[in-house]
Amino acid sequence: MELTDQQFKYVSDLVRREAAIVMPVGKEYLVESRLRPLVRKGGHGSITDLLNAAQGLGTAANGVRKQIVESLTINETSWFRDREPFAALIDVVLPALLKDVPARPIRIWSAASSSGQEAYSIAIQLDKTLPPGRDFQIFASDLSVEMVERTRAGVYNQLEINRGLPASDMVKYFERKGADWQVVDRLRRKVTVQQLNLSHPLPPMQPFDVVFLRNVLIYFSPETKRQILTRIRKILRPGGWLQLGAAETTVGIDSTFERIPVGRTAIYRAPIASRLPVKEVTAC
Amino acid sequence: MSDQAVLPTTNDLEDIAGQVWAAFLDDGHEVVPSEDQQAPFDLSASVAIMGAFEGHVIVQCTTQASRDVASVLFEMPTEEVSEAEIGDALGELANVLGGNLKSMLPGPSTMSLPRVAETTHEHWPSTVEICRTVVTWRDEQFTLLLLSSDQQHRLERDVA
Amino acid sequence: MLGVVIDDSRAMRKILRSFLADLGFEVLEAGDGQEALEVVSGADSVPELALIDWNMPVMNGLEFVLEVRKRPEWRSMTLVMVTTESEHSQIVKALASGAHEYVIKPFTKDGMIDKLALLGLVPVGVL
Repeated sequence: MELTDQQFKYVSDLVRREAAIVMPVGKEYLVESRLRPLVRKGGHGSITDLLNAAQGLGTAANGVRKQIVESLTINETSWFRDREPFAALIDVVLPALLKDVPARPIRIWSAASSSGQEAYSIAIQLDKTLPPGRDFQIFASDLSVEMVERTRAGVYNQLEINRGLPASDMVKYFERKGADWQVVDRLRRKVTVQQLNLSHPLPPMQPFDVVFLRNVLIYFSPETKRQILTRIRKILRPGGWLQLGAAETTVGIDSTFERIPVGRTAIYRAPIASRLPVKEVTAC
Repeated sequence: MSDQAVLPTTNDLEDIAGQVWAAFLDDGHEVVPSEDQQAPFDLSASVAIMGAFEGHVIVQCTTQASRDVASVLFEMPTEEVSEAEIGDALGELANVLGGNLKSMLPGPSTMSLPRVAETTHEHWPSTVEICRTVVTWRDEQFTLLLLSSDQQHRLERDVA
Repeated sequence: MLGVVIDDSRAMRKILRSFLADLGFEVLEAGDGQEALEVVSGADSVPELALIDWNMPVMNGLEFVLEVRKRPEWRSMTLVMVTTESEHSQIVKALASGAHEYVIKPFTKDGMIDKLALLGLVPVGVL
């Protein structure tokens, strides 16, 4: 076992303090399995190095602590994960879009789609909610080529399919594929998937009405966060919506977004005035 | 039953076993396909599938291995596990594997309650093996089998 | 809150009992559908939740669901199938017969809690 008792106690105290989650003795293997990707991602030599980097003052240590808490509190594979963002989509965003936006397809970007549950959860919500005649397009992207391929395939095993997906949606939007379940063609056709690094300039894309960018910013430095939010703001339609993770905010990073409280969470709105740059048209 | 039916493979068996162990027997040890595909056993748990597909799903292992399974499921020391608990735990293992395999087979069909027997013989008359694997968990081996009683499958095997 | 766990495997009942206990449920157990009808009838109040295996001796889980649906006084009980039966058609059949949710075995604790959260049965603050 890699974790010492003292290290495990440090992590469980941290998670209890920061997220009010109790991590009982016996969960050492779980802690290790969640920390290992952070060791790799952050270029730390070992779990011990990672935990050393977490202990101390300053933003770097603070960032590492945040990552540790996130890694232990967030389950990356839930359908309708956290639920509130999807409630906000249906209760606040869609009514506004249906009122303001002409009858073109609504465009939503799942900007860190992981294995695709968020993108397909959005697709399921829209399919159930939109009035007849209104269509939608989902764009899903992830840094990892493997995740992009998983999202494109839309195949989930029994353990994954149990995670928060209502049974009525499961039978309506999935079909058996061997031992697994696959998103039905009709829904998969609505989701376009591409590998994309958010810390680089974005490729040319059509503007979006809504961007889901959840639990991504926490991994970046303040400067990179600012750059990412600026790019997102530019790719959003004027008055478009940004959904961040529960522990994230634009406040203090990009003041042009308006924070709109929804239930226990909040959604952010791009300024109506920030139009996409329009070329000067000279009369001929 | 259609000749075109895609039947479960060893890969499917291993996938399902991986999920079952991860969900119910997650004590920090992973279940992995065994290098040795012949494993000793003295216990055998089985469920019968009846309907559009006719056959059996079987889990075989040693008493020691079944004690480990029961001790994790019942959260009790291995030495305190009773015979009834072994039967219950191994039977549920066969039930969960069986149900998942059944969903991949031609339907409709129903599944029997699990039956656990002490045996060192593999004796399943008039059946043919559809897929099989041996997996290792905590240094113990578990043989997982899907057998068909379908006449057509037996004919195909004889031709092969 | 009161929950009843109905499964012929004692190991499975123990797993489910401990999940529910962690969510603050008081837990009753039954080894088949018939026993569950008796346990629920004899309970001080109608359980808020029943976790129901499908394949059981005496009376199976689907028959139990149909029995519960015949009794208006048990209307408030949320019925969740927890079973290895996982054909598309079986899930549709269970939902049509009156089950509210469906959890396929194998499941993890997180998976079970996610499903119960959908039904509003997870207290705030439990992850």
